[in-house]
Amino acid sequence: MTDGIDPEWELEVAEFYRSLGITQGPGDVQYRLIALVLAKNGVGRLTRFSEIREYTDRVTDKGNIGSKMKTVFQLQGLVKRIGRGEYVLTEKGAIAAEFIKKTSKYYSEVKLTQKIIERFP
Amino acid sequence: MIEGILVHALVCLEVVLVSHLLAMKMFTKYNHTDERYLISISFGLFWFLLGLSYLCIGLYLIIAAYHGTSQISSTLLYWGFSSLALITAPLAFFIIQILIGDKRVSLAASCSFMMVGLIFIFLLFRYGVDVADIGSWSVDFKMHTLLLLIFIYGSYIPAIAMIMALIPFVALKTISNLRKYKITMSLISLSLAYDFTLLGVMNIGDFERLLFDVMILIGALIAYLGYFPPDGIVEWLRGPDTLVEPVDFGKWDDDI
Repeated sequence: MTDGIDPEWELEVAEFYRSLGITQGPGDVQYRLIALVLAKNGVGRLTRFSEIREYTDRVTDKGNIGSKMKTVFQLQGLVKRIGRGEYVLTEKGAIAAEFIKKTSKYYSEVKLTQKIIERFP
Repeated sequence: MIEGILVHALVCLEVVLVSHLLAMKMFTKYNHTDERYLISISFGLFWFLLGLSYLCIGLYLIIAAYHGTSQISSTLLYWGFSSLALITAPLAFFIIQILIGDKRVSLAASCSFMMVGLIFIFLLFRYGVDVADIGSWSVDFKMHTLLLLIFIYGSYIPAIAMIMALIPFVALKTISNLRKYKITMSLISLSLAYDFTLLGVMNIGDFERLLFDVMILIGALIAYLGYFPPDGIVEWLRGPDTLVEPVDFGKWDDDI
């Protein structure tokens, strides 16, 4: 994965985890994108809701994002709401984002290995 | 008639039988539209060339056992070594295509080993092989040092390095025992074939060379049993847990 966030790639990774029965966190494309956009700006830095929507609108239903921010990210203390449509990532949120990045790496490794094994006659 | 050499020839012909049977089965294992078709062909070609080499050496030994060495029988020895010099080309395609999956890269690697093999053959006919003596079990020969060096550094060491690249896949926890078995058996067979071919080319001992060829025969049998295992082994490796419907991983399922 590059420094940028690729919603299509995140969707593919989320689908892989969903296929394993992991529907929350790594298997939830909304969660993945929100965590990654927040992590891109860094801990304690302002992230606007519109910025998150730039990524999420391409792959998911826009109506759910606000709900996800409230019921998951704010409730669990992953972000702090500092104004209307303005959030900052907490240290706990950064841990979640790091975990999401690691799940992408794990998926890449599994995909690569799977392709090699598939080619074995 | 020298019985020991005839026994040696018999071992060589058994190598021919097993390796050619494996090669023929690998040639027809997949449809040409399958992604694994060329990989399977290259593996088959490896064993076909090894078998061809042993066919020539086996016939050479039969002639040597009855009539001693002659110019005509020596031609068989040259053909045998020529075939042996080319075996790394299909092996390179086999391993690199599995690891990288890019036909251009695999073909380029294969062609470079083909060039090394052709250089070996050219020098083989230029320098020749001196047949020194007929022993009780084998025919002693002396190959030019340059040919040995080309075989070791241009064929053996790269081949072993490529074979070693596949070892980590044996340790994967996410693949079935049956697939691990297949990978392990093919790696063992290739290692045995290369290691004992090298010792044979280096012309170490008399009876020892018969043992080297027995090990190559074992290697060919291991390869055959690896790709076409008996039902008992398949059932044992699958175990009772696979009676439960496995997770749908598509091609991850064993396809034997």
